[in-house]
Amino acid sequence: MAVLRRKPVEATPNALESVYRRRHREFLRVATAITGSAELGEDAVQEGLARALSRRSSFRGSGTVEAWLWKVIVNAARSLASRAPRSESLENEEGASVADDDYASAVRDSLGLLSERQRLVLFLRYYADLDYTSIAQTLGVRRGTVSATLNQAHASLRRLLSEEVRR
Amino acid sequence: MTTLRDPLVAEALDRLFPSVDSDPEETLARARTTAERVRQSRTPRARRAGLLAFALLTLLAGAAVAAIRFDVLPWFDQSNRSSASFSIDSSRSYKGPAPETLACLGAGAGSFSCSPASFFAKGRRTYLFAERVEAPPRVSRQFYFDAVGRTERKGQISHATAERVRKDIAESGDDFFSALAMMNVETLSGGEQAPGRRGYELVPPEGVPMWIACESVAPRFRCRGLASSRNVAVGTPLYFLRSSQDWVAVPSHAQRLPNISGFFRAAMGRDLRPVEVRLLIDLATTGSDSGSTGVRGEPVPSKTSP
Repeated sequence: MAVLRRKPVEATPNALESVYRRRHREFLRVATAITGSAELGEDAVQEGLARALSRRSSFRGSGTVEAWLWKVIVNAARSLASRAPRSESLENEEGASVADDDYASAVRDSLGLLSERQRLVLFLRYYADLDYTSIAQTLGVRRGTVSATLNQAHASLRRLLSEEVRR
Repeated sequence: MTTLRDPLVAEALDRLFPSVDSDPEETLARARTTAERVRQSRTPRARRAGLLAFALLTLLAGAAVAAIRFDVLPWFDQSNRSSASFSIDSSRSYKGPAPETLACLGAGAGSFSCSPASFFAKGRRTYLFAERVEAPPRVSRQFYFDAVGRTERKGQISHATAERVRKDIAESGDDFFSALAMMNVETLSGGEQAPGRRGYELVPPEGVPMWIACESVAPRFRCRGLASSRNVAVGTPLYFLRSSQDWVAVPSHAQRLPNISGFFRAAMGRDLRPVEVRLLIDLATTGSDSGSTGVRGEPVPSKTSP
């Protein structure tokens, strides 16, 4: 399980690039999940990283550089997802490395019925392997909210999946 | 229970978006390029201190009369198709929202309407946030004494230089400092080097502004070209146009020099005295030596180098 290490550092280009190189697979996977497309996911990671590099002074040092970079990239992905044509959201596309079978479709449909916060918590927990504290820093919510949201998401997803599979 | 992980959910999510493999360096290189471009667009004032020293060599003869509401822009306007000069009204402020990206389909002369958009919006008239207008410092003789003291303490100028500048500050006229306080003009520069055409730059099509100033008129934004704008409120968000296929190559504009002597003559009703010219050069040179960070960080050159 990944834990965001707390360290009183500046968001220097080296620090940001070091975090990015270490976690780029997770950044890309989470961004792909949020946007529903590998291409948009890559765009979101690139945009988030560019924003972080050009606005390093807005990092206030209240959390870790990694948590801040997660926040910037997640926001970039959310922004892209909210403006992407509806058909692109959570849909497969050629070369997108997104699984496409009945079960995956059921999962996709079920995820689409969750709240955005539930989906984000699930993605950060399972695709990035972040702990609750790190997820809370990334989403700007209390740790207890993460815990509660994840519990609700598990319950909802299990119920929705069982309904989908029974059909 | 601190790290709940449900095996059924884990399996489901793994099936949906399997782990992806990609080259991080390619994305990193593109992000660096984008970040650098944004950074450059936000620090266009770095070059102005040096320009001031050069402009002082163009002292011209003539006479004008200072007005109560003095329009300072004509003396410093360097606007062209890629740059925008504007004057600031520090008595007004704007504290409304400033989205990262605006789509302005009707961008052109006069005011036009824009909407918040995705960074990746496909439209040709997509503007990206650059900065908010900063309040000019309150300039006075004491302001410059304090600034020189700070610069000396930081070791950026010698004690001897500081003493000489302090002497010039003391000997310059009150009307000189009043005129300095009116120099509330900024210039932002953009445009792109035209690929393969030395001496040419890419600029937006005729009539489409490179730089715009916007204010929220919920849910949209009312924007206008920034070039030669007067009395822009402090805090106003400024945007630059993202390049598109219809940009045209034009010969790189020779930067028009500000008419500093003409400005002071108009503002004070007299010519600059030698001690005041020397002081302006000293202040500008101090700014040039300290580079872009110094220009922003030190009030001396920032205020005296429109």
